[in-house]
Amino acid sequence: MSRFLFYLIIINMLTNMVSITPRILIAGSAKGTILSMIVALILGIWLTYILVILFRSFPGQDLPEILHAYAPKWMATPVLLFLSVAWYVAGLFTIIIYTFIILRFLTPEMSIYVIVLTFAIVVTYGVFMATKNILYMSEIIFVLVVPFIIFIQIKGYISPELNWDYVRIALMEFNHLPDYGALTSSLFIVVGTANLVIFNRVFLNLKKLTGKGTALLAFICTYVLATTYFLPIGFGGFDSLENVLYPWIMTSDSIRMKFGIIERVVFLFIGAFLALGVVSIIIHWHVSIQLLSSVIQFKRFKWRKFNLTNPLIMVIFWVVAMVVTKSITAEGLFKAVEMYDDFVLPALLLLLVGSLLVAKKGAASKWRESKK
Amino acid sequence: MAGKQKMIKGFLTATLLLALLLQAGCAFKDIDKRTFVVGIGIDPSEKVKNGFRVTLKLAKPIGNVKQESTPTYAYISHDADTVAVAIHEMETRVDTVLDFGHNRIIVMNKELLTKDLDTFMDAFTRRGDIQMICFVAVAAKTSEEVVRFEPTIEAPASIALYNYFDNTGTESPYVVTTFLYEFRREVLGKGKDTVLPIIGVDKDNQEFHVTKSIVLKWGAKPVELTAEETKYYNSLVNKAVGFSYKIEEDSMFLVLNVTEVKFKYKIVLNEGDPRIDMKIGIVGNVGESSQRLSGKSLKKYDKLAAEEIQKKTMALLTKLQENNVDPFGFGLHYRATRLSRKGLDKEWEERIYPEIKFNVKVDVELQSTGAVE
Repeated sequence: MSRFLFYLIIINMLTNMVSITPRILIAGSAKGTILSMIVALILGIWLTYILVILFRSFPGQDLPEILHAYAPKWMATPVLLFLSVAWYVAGLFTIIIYTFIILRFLTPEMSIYVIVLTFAIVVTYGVFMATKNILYMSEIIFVLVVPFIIFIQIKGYISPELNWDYVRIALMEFNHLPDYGALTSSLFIVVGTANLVIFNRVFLNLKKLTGKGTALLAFICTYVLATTYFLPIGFGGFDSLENVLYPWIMTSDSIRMKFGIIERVVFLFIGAFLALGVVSIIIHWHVSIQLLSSVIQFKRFKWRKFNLTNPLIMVIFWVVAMVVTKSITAEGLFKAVEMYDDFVLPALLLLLVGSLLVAKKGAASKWRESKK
Repeated sequence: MAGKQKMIKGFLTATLLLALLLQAGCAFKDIDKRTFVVGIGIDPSEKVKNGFRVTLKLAKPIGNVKQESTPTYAYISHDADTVAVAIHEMETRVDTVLDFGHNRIIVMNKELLTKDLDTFMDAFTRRGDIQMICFVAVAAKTSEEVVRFEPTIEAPASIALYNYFDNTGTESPYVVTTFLYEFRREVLGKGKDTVLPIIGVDKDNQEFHVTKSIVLKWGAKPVELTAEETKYYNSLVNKAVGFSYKIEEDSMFLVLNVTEVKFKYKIVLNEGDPRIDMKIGIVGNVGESSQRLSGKSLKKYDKLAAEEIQKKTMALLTKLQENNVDPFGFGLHYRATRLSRKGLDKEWEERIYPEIKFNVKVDVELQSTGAVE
């Protein structure tokens, strides 16, 4: 099952490639993005390692189960609520960003509601799938889409119009102290493992990260993070990118297949990333809805034998998504993502690791009691 | 019970499908409701003060290319304060939606290459639908003339102007290609100045002339390069081949066809005067000769050619230096090889570049005499 852990991590990384993250990285380009990325890489891999070890001690259990069983109740409920909201917002950001991209580059005349609704319907179907099936689906999409993305990136790397001098200028900025904003947003790219809070259900025998696994993970993370940052700079210039809202869309629009079937790669690129984006939203919202329903469950809100709490939550998800997407500005979104990365993400990771440690302790004492 | 559930499911599916009927078609307009813009030209306006005259080349939808004898393009021009306003006002002058997604060329007037260049180019990078891979060029006279011109060679339903650039059709060292994203990064960034091709129109022979180019430094006076200089620049920086060179000695001459160009340089600052060591390697073969050549004597011609090319390159480099423009991107390379600090670009631009010496070494290697000796 371990390869599915990789899908969780990689899908999270790739979706963030076209989101606000590159913009935050580029905004800090003269202030220490390079060191931040290196620190984030080390921190991210270390966190992955720790999280895998922690979840390993509770095979087949998700975080709500773990906390309800081994942690005090006053702690479990707020933690789960907070995590649920955090995951929902992560998915919400993806949906907003992709809606904006579709609106700007694909169908400028379409109504925002229609776009969000299209997303929401597909995502709803995905969110209510069994946890295991979501992983299978992510594998299929991964296999279908990632070759395209890698192809486009290689096409970009070997293009003679890519000016390596700009990339080198960006590299030469390593003599600045790490920038907190760039650090947390690159950390967000690397910590897809956190999705284990629900997905640990299906990992009955989670293996510790081996040397080989760590090396592979480090390689993939470095590649994705470096590509996220350097390829837009190589195509868009070092000084001139700071006011670009979607650096990666611009970059993929700069890559061309001269005699290819489609000369303008950007459509291929957006298509591939939309597929990944949908999977990412499904993963995030699935986690969110499962966390939320573990805390809030209306026992009498039923239709026949079927409890309607989850559908109700989903409808609320839709409505919030539509209202926010309609009202938020591009700048507001940027600020919101920045805030999320700067404050919510560290809090989320600390809470997650902390509560797992508490649960582990609780489990150990319970085990001792039962032995007596 | 099972039958009832099935019925409910069927009913739900039917309702969902029927809901589709409420949709008033897709938001996407079909091709017959769109007009594709295939060329944009911008000139300073004569009617509106400080305004622009935008010319669009529009592709007319036709049924069958083979039966078409009349031109398949229409042109409209419009004067307005800004480019975006001009485009919006032009939308009322055609019956369909203007679709810029297929446009591949933006032609500018020379007079517009001034300080407020970014304000009107902004209109293009800001709209998401204009390709970043469209070509940017400068018109020799007016861009309206260039956009409206249809050379005799232009086949129906094809656009001659596109084929000149990026080696899609013609491959020539006289033609430099600049994409919109390159233009943007070089104009807004520091360290490399952008080179734009100049498109001339020859009305007598009914053809385009794309041989010269112009070096543009934002905020400074643009520097025009002759066809010969363009050829040298292009073959060094973009490794454009197909460049031929005539060598004369006493009574004989031979023409060298270049098949490969290697170009490397290094900025040396710590040994005496600052200088740039440049190494140019040219591989080619003989294209024409006034007498029989033996393989052995080729070495002699290598040297002759190298000397000539060295002189021409030096002349180009000094001209660029005197005008304080840097299309080779030496400044960029300088920044790329130093640890970052504030004012690195200023230091190069104001102190080092005007004084720097060039040390050009040319190596010519004639590989063969062609098919005959």
